[in-house]
Amino acid sequence: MIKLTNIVKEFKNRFGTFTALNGVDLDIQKGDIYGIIGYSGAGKSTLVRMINLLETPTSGEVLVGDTHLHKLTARDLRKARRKIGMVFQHFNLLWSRTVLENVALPLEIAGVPKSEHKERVNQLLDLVGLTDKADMYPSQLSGGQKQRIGIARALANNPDVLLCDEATSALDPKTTDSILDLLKDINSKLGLTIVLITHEMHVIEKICDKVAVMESGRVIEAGEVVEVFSHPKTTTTKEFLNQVSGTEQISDEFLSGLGEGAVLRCTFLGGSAGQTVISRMITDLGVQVNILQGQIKRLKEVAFGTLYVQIQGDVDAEAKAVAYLKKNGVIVNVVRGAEGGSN
Amino acid sequence: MEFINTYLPNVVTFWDYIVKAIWETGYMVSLSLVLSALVGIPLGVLLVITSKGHLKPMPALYQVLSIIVNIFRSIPYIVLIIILIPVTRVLINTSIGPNAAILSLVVGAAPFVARLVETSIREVDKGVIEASQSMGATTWQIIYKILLPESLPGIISGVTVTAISLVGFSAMAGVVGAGGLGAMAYNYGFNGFKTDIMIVTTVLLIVMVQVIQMIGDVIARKLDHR
Repeated sequence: MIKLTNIVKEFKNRFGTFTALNGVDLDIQKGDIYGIIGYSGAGKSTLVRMINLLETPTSGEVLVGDTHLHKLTARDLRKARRKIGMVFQHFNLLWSRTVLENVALPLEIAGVPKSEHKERVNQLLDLVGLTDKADMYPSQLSGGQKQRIGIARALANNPDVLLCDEATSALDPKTTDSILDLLKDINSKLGLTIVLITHEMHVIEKICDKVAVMESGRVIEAGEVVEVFSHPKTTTTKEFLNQVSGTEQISDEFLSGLGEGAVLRCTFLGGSAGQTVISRMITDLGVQVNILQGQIKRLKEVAFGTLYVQIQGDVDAEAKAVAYLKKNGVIVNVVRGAEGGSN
Repeated sequence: MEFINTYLPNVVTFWDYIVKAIWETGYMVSLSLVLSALVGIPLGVLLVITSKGHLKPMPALYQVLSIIVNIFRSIPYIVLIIILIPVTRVLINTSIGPNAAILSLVVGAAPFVARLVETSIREVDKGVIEASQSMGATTWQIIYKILLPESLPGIISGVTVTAISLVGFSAMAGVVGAGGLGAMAYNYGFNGFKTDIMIVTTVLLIVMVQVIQMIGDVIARKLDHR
């Protein structure tokens, strides 16, 4: 559906050249909810603007559907853009227009006869659940409502693709979730492809099928969300995963207050979390285990998460436990070793 | 009535002239305001969209327009009137009367309007422009569907300020033969030692300014849904 090939984007100013995108490839299938995550400055905003050519690539190819966007005339590009809706972090609604008029703007631009506006706008407002707000002005709405209007507006011309530029970053967590639910709903109802960029792993976790992790103008990791979550390869990805896996570092005060025995940090990814590893270890090895802290989450069919456990006993017990866990596919880090035994 | 006859004798005698002067000032201000807006608003739009990083960057055109606007804004109005006398003569065959003042008023005020419009339009959120581009809007659509409506309260305030300046300018033009309240104050009041006429015409100018400001504020507020 969307294929970006070797996209390079350089910004030139009087201080020199800044490379915002450095050879990015992206392949997005029809009907995907594709998330692009990265810290600010990673180039994700520039990348998403390549898809509707609000930013033109210095080199590389942009293919949306069967159309090479960068080969179009200005006129044809404007036409193509009508089939690519965009939602913004700061909503970008016109304060001078009512909700109804805001949602009708893309229709006006596309030259849809005025007599059809009202019906279409009402359908859209119904879809985003704000039918009663048609005659209000954006300044009278809450952030979440404004974003719903932004989404309704982006969908006005029945686009095939919806681009979301940090669409939930200006919203509180509860509103974020309701907007994400709406996007997911739209994706399944209308079957349109959604590309969203974010710096919140929560967003990816909640609605995305696929994810690309960006850093300094490159995609450093990409694939099915389940795959990337269960086998993160880069530090950046792991850092983002920490946002959602609830794996805060265990505090030193807590550690020093504990009795003897090794403290292990067990990371469960994929299959290992679904099994009864800890309880089997207790029976098989006969060790005493004290669960200290942790969280296991479920993402689609895969569980992942982190557990801090204390193994009662000496170094031998520790070594046996570590070996057992590793054999069962758990990633183990020794936070604090045990003392004594055959050291 | 007694009071008026005692303290404002000349105002009573010349009342018909004063009424005519009010109409002349009203005529000069409103016609030149409309023309200044018709010239200044498109000029202001051009100043925005041709500037660097905007819709249609054209650095050379921008520079030329900007310099022309600055030149006309820096010429003192009284000098402008004199410079434009020959042009006025060619255009309307006379250099006195309200119509003769219109040209210099427009030339003086249009660049002013242009700059005020430019400032208002520049305040339009870049994000909104980007959003309209993402919908496939043409430059022309962006101008009349986004830039102008979103900056309308600012433009109205600018036009109001210009109208008030035009009241002052038209009074000045009156002194050199354009008629109106300014001419009345100067010719009858000042040169003719009729102090009461000077006071009343000045008060009328003040009232005019107040009314214009009030109307402008009301309209700007009505249009502002921010």
